[in-house]
Amino acid sequence: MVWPALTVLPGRILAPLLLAGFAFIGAALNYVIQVQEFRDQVATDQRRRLTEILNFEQNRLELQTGLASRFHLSRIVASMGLRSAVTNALLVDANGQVVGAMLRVRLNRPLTDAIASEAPAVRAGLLAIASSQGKGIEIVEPHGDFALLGRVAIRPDMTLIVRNDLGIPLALRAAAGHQELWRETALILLFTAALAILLHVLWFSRTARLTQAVAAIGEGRFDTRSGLAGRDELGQIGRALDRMADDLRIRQANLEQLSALIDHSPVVAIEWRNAAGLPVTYVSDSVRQWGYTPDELLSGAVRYRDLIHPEDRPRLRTALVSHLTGGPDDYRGEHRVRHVSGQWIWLDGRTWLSRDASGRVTHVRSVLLDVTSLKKTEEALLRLNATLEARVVERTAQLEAANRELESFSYAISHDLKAPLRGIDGYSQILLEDYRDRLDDEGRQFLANIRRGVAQMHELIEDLLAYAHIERSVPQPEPVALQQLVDEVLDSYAHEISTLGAKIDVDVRTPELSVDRNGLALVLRNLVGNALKFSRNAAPPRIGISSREEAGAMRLQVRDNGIGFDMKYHDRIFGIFQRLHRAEDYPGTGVGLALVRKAIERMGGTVRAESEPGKGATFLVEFPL
Amino acid sequence: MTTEAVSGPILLVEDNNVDLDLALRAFARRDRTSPIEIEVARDGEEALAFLPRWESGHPTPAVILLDNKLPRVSGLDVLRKLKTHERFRRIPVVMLTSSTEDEDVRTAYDAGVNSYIVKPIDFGRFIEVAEQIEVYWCAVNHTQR
Repeated sequence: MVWPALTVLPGRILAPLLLAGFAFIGAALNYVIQVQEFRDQVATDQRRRLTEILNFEQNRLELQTGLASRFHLSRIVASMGLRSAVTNALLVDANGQVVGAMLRVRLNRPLTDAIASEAPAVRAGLLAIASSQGKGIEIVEPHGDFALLGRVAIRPDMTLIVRNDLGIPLALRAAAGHQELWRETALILLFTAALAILLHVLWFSRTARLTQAVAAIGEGRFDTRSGLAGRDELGQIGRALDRMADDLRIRQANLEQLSALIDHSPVVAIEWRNAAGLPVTYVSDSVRQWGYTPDELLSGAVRYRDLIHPEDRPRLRTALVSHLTGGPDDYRGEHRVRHVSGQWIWLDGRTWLSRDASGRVTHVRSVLLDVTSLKKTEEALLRLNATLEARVVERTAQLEAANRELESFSYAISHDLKAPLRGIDGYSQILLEDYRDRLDDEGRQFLANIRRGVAQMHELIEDLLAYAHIERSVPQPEPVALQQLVDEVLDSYAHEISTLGAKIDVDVRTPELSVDRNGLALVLRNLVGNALKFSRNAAPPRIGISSREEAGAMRLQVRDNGIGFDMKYHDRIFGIFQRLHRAEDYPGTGVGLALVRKAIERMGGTVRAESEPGKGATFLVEFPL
Repeated sequence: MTTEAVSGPILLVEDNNVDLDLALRAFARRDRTSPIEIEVARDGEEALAFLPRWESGHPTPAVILLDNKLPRVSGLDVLRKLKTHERFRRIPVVMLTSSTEDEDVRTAYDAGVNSYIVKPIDFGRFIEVAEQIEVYWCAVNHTQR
């Protein structure tokens, strides 16, 4: 092919060379055509001229033949030699004798003899035309002789034969033509040179700039600009190139930023080409966190598959093969790789496949996040969870054992502590009854004291049992009509109320409640019992029991006009075994109000008291509804 | 009060010496004139030993007063044996015990006890209870012979 050979040279050299070459070829072709045209022109011109000559000489000769002057005839024929290009002129009479010729030696001889000295081609042509019998002017171009042969009959019986050479006029014409051709060729070359200069200025210098710019941009120097102006194609290309370079520069800057982001992130990005051995084609700088350099992976000095934990390799290989053959193109999974120090790193990897237009997988790309610490935390949590469950089971067993112990303890209290009390009380009474006569007053008083102690002890045991019972029982809410409950409690104190002549004022405005019935009964029993106990010296004792529903809560109030207490003891009175008075004055175990508070707290409520010494006390219980 | 014929003896199952003595004294001091026969078993095994005697003709009791906390065989086990016995399951059994525990009361009734009485600490009250037991179970209550 010629074309690749042509593109070896730069355009600015090739184009002028081609122009010069084409100019030369054009000139040569023009020359060849012109030479051919010269021959045709000369042949035509000479034929016309020969015809004129023959016509003219026929008339002259016929005029002389009429005068029968042979001398004149020969003179006329001889004069024809003055005409340019006429080389032979022969007048032949009827006998074939030459009667007129340009050369005197040829006169009065037969034609054949007369022209014997001519070249064979000329002689043959002359003889051939001489033998013709035509009456008018006859002109032929003989074969083998570059000339015109003319014949015309001269009356009455002669023939004029003329040979007009064509070589001489052609040579003259060609000489003139050559000069013309050289001038034209020179002009063509001049214009070619001018065109080459113009092309260089307009195109090639700018093309060179464009070429340099494209080459520079191709090498990644996106700051390079062609700087070409103008509205022609090159100008447009130049501007397009500059815009492209701008665009590339921005994109490159974005890419560099993204790349820097990845390089500084905890994520490692890797790209493999889907070819034998899966060569790494990109790896982010962040791979240094595993102790390797990007170059080690890119060069193949460190192969990724060798870093993968042996236990994870078969799984990953299977997954990759499955994704390459049947998709899907996205894969997420965890695996371990070896840190350069030998420790294993847990990675959470997202892998996807890139395909070309034909759907063939070209690259495999992954982003990998180090989740080792998460994994460790997870494992620690799992371990902790396992031990926690075991510890909970253990603690629950301990608590259950403690609970059982407590239950058997309270059972022991209820049975074993009360049994001796029964004996003490029983035998004290038998002594008082059966041995009354043998005891003095003091002895009887002692026995009465013993029995009072037993009663107190019994009361204390029962209160403690109730307290323990409240502590470990779960409140069982059920619908409770408060009015009815209050009535039941008051019934249990009916004897005491009538003995003391106490005035009881009940104002319950709460409808049915959902509470633990036993708990609320215990609370009411203790509060009413307390109120009666501490107001027994009032005249008369007044006890008010009221309830209201306020702001989504039930407020129960037990009020008395007893001795009251100083508010500085407010918190003490709800503590277990706390007493503000001597047992002789106001008997009690010191458990009652502690029992009240415990029961109310178990039901989700609160209890408090308001009082002043000597002005009665008010106990306020609140439950959320 | 009128004297009525007692329909049978009372079987008292009690291991504690003091409680047994007080119980016997309480029954002795009751405000009644008619004599009452009280048979005593000192533990669960002795109580169950009455079963073959009753089968061989020994009179069955009008009521059995059963303490719960007994050595070897507990009062509850004795109760269960009695209440599943083909012939003697209809003999009234009264649990006479110190425990006020809900759990104890519930299991006793579940096992078929006819009454559950907490032993009073006050001896005076004990005498009243003894009298009431005798009146109710030996005189008022009618059982199959």
